[in-house]
Amino acid sequence: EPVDELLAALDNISQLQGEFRQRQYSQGDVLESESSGRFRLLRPGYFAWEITAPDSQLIIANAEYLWHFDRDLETVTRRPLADSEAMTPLQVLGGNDAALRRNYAVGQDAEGRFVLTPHTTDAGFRRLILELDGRLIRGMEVLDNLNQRVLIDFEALDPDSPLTAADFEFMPPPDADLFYHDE
Amino acid sequence: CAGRPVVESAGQAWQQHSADMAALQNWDADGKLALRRDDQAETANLAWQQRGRQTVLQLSGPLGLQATEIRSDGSQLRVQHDGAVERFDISGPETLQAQTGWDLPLQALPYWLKGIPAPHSPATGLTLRDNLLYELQQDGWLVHYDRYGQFGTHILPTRLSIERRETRVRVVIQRWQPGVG
Repeated sequence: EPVDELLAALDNISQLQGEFRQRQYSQGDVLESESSGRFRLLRPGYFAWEITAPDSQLIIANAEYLWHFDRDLETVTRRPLADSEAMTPLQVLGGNDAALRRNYAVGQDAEGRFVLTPHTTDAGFRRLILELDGRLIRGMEVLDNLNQRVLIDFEALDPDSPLTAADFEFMPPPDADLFYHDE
Repeated sequence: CAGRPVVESAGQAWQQHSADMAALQNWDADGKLALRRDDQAETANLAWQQRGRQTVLQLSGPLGLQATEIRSDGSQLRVQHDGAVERFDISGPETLQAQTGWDLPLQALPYWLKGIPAPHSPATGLTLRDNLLYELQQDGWLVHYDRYGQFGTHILPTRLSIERRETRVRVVIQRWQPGVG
C-alpha cells in the first residue's frame, strides 16, 4: 500500500533543517511569484517554516499550537493544533500518521515520489506531491484550489545537527496584533 | 509633521497626483492583507489585478493554501474557493454583507489602494501629508495611509489600514506594477 510506504519513508526523517525556494505558477504555467526561506522539522509534531524573502513570515507548529507570525503585517495568528484536522502540507510532514491515513488517498508515481489527494474539498489545496530521499526531503509540490502549482525545492539540507522542542518555541512580539483562534 | 487638513482648495500638487492616480486604469499590486472582524481574523497573500473596472483578486495562505479568487466588475462578484464558485450581486452598498457576512468596501478598494477617494460617493476628512493622502473617511470607512513607495514614475501606498465598526483591514503592498497589461 503506497500510504504504508509513505509513512515508512517519513519515519526515516526524524529531524531535518535547511533552506527552501518556492515558485508559484499560474494555471497557464506562468511563473507568478517566488519566495525563499529556512525550515526546521522535528518529527513527529514540530515544524518551523520561515519565509525571509521577499516578505517576512514565520509559521511554527509545536505540541499545542500552530503559530503564524507575519512581520510585515505585525500580526500573530494562533490556532490549536487539535482543531486543525484539515492538515496543511506542512502538517503532513510534521507527522500525524492516523490523520494522514484518514484524510488522504496516497499514490506513488516514482521511487520516493508520493502523491497525496485530500478526501475532502475543503482541505485548502487539491493535491500534494512529496519527493522523499532517505533522511531527506528533496521537493514538494502543491496544486492549490485554483489549479495553480506551488513548487518548493529544498537546499542546504542538514539531517544531523540536533534539534529539540526548544527550537520550536514561539513568543509573540509585544507590539504584534494577536489573533488567537480559541480552542 | 501632522497631516494638513485639506480645505476646499486642495493644493495644486495633490490635484495633479490624484488626477494621475485616477487615470491609472490598469495595474497589479502584490502584497498581504490582515482582516479582523469581531471574533474572526485572517491573514493572506494578496495578488490584485485591476483592468479598468475589472478586478481579479487572489488571496492565499502560505504554500498556496486556501487559495481564493474574487472577480468583480463593480456590480457582479464571482468568488471561487474550495472547488466551488459563488456569484453575488454587489450593485447595492449593503448587499455584500447581507449575502456573505463580509463587510468589505469592494467598489471603493481599487481607488483607496491607489491612495485616492472613490468617485462614487462623497469623501470627507481628507488629510494630506507631503501632498499625499494621509487619511480619509468614505462610505462609513476610515482609511489611513502609513507608508508610500516609488514605483516607476508613480508614488503609491505600501501600507494602509481600513476600518469600520468591527471590521479592520490592514494591507501591505510589496510590489506595484502600474500601467501593466
